[in-house]
Amino acid sequence: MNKQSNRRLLLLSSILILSCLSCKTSFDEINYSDGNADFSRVVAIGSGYLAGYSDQALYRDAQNSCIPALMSKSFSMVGQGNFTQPFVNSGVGIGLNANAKWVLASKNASCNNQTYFAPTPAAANGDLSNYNWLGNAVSFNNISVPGTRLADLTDQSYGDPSPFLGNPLYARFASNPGTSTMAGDALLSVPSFFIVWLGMDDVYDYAMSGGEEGKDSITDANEFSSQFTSLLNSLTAQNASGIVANIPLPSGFPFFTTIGYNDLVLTAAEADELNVLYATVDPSIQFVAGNNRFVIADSSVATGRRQIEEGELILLSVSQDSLICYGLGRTVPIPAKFVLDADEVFEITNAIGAYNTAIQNYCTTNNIAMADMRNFFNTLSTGYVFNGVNYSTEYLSGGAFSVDGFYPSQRGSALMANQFLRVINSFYSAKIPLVDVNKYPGIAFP
Amino acid sequence: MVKYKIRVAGIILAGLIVRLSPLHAGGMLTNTTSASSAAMAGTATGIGSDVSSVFSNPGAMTFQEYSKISAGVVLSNSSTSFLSPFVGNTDDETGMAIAPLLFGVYKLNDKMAVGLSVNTPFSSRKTWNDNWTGSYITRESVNRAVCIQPTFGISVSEKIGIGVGAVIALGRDYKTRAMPYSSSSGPVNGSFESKGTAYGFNLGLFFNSSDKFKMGLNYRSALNFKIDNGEAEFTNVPSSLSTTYPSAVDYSTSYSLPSVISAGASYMLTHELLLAVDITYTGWNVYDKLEYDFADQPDLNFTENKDYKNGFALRFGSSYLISEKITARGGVAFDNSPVPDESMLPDNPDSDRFIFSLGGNIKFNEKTSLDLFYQLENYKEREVSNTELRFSGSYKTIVNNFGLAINYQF
Repeated sequence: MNKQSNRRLLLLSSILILSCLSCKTSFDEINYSDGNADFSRVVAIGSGYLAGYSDQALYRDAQNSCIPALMSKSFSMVGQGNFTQPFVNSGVGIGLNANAKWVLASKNASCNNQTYFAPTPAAANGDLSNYNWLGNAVSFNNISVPGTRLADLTDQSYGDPSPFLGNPLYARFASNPGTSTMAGDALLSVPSFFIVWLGMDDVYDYAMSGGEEGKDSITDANEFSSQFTSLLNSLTAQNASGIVANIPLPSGFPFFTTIGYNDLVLTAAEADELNVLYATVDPSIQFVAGNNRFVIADSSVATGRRQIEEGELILLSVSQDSLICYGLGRTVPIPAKFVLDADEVFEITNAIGAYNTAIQNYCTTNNIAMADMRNFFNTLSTGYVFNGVNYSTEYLSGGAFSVDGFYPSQRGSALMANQFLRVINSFYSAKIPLVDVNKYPGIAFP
Repeated sequence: MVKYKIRVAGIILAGLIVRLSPLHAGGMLTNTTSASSAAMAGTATGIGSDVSSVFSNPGAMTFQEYSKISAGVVLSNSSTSFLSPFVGNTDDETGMAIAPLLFGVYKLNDKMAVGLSVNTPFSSRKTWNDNWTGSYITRESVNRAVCIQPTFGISVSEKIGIGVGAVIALGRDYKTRAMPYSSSSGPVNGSFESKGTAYGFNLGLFFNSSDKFKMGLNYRSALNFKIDNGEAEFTNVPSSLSTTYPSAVDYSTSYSLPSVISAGASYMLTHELLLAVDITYTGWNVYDKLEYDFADQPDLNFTENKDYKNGFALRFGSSYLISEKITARGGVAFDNSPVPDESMLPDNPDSDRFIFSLGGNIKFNEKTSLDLFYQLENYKEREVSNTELRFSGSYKTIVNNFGLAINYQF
């Protein structure tokens, strides 16, 4: 080899070394597409689940990552999906009972050294200045109001700001408070794409307040069907396409599953003591060492109390301190407003079945996408892994629900947004990115 | 799909983070066990002329003309990109690492020699930013074994040498990740570190067939690590979870690194040109799972399923004597990935890879010379879906290795 070829070899080697020093492995951006849907003017119509109600209140952070807002962030990857929301002030927010948002606290039982997690309001009151009217300068893309039932959508008084007349969480952003309706406001922006999740409050107001003893009834299935149809027709009449969610069963919410029917754990001595106590007054009530069924109030039996049966549900709203310290569920029956008995559970699941049939039928007939949230909550109840994190319907540890046990956490909203987006991608032949769930905040333990 | 962004090399070099930690190599078996063989894409088993034979084939120790010592370093820069279906591209932050090389052969007489080798035959290392999309799976991960190997070689005939080394392997398994519970300022951070020692052996057989043709066979045993004093640390722990996540807690773990069997041959085609070939078979199926047992905190127990499969590599190398003082080296190899699709995770994003190497030797005088090499490991782009952790996406990895060693013979 002569000198020249040596030099050439050296040059070649240097070029190779330098060129691969600058080799980068980065992937190109993914090409997303909106398929045959049009996300230029999105409107979300729903109640607390779409409004970003979380931790028992409407507050800014949760609004920012509510289901339709997360979906719109994904729509923005195809250059669309501008999404204006009626934001509350940052801070403690405002709940349906004028309360502040709840945060998780570690509490000590009042009678012993047992500690437990329980939600507690972040402030004595919610931020009432959020009731101030936002004005009608813009038409909002998120027409979702916590507590909304289907009948409220066409009710002019629902936006009436006078005390006790309407829902102040609608009145604050109604285009014309006391006159405009949610259904009407939803059409103001002439939506090209709608996200609808309605019917939750039509059955869960009843369920969360313990059934008949509570304040709200279940909306009749036929009324539901006709109101649902007329709302959706008003949207499709403007040539909008969209997606509709159906209603999950109570077994998909920590609010109904956290306290198991037989979670009363007793030692042999405690069981014996209770058996002696009940032997004279109510011998049908009996206890053993280990797991036992709680004692609940039931006005339909002569003694006014009985042990709960499997399939009946105890609500998360029951006082944990009373369960630990005051004999609640053993010597003191759990009041009926904290219990869904077999009849009530039947009514609830029946109504959900009927609502879901109506929703499914409408979607099939009118070629609208449907997000099967009933199915997703079932899946979630058996565990759902996202990028190494296991989500479930377990209270707090499951990560998908906020500390109120019913409304989603921000990560829960992200999981649900992904269910919507998956359906949109397949139904509308679109390629919209899903949400990176784990980057949203998890439940903040104290 | 892959974009090669051309940048000024100097800027990249300036941005590299140099740490005294081990090298990356997918599948964990490194291709840079010595500076001379790395220049020839890892061929060594059937060459036998280099002092690093003490590691690559101790059977060749007695066929060396002199006693020798060699000391060097390997610099390794690993880049991986991950394409997530959720967030698109993420580049890793692994950067540059340094590892030492040390080899010595002392000829007791014509038939016997003793030697020592210190290098890092197993190493994997990957760092991602703390908030990346896989942060609950891995943020930083290091698994390496530095092997110290005192060795004895003997010629059983004029043509056949055998050598045996005792391997003392210093293992380190380190990982950090986000834990599934959070405080108001983000997730709990977990780190897990175990250090342990394993013992094995290195057995070589060398056939010095003629001046031109040589063959070799080398077996390195598996290394079984059993570690009782691993330490986990948790930070950003909310006070209500301080019993679940104590600030520090011990764990025990055990894992095995595989046996490696290599066969190689070399042939002097001309006075200047040497051609060499190696085939390596690695018993990766011993790396099946890592169990982390917390005796004091069983709620923290976890298992990492690895399920590696046995792998092989095929290597071709050559050297060319340019002048009396300068030898050029080069090689190409194919290294097959032992990591199955279902269990692949971003802590060791492995793939089948092609290895290209260049290098050489410069003689300063009769006794002293310098080995240099550059090696490019180009990993095939790979799209996988980890079934257990539901982590899916595509990986692309490029590793640049550089190294030098100073050799002295006496």
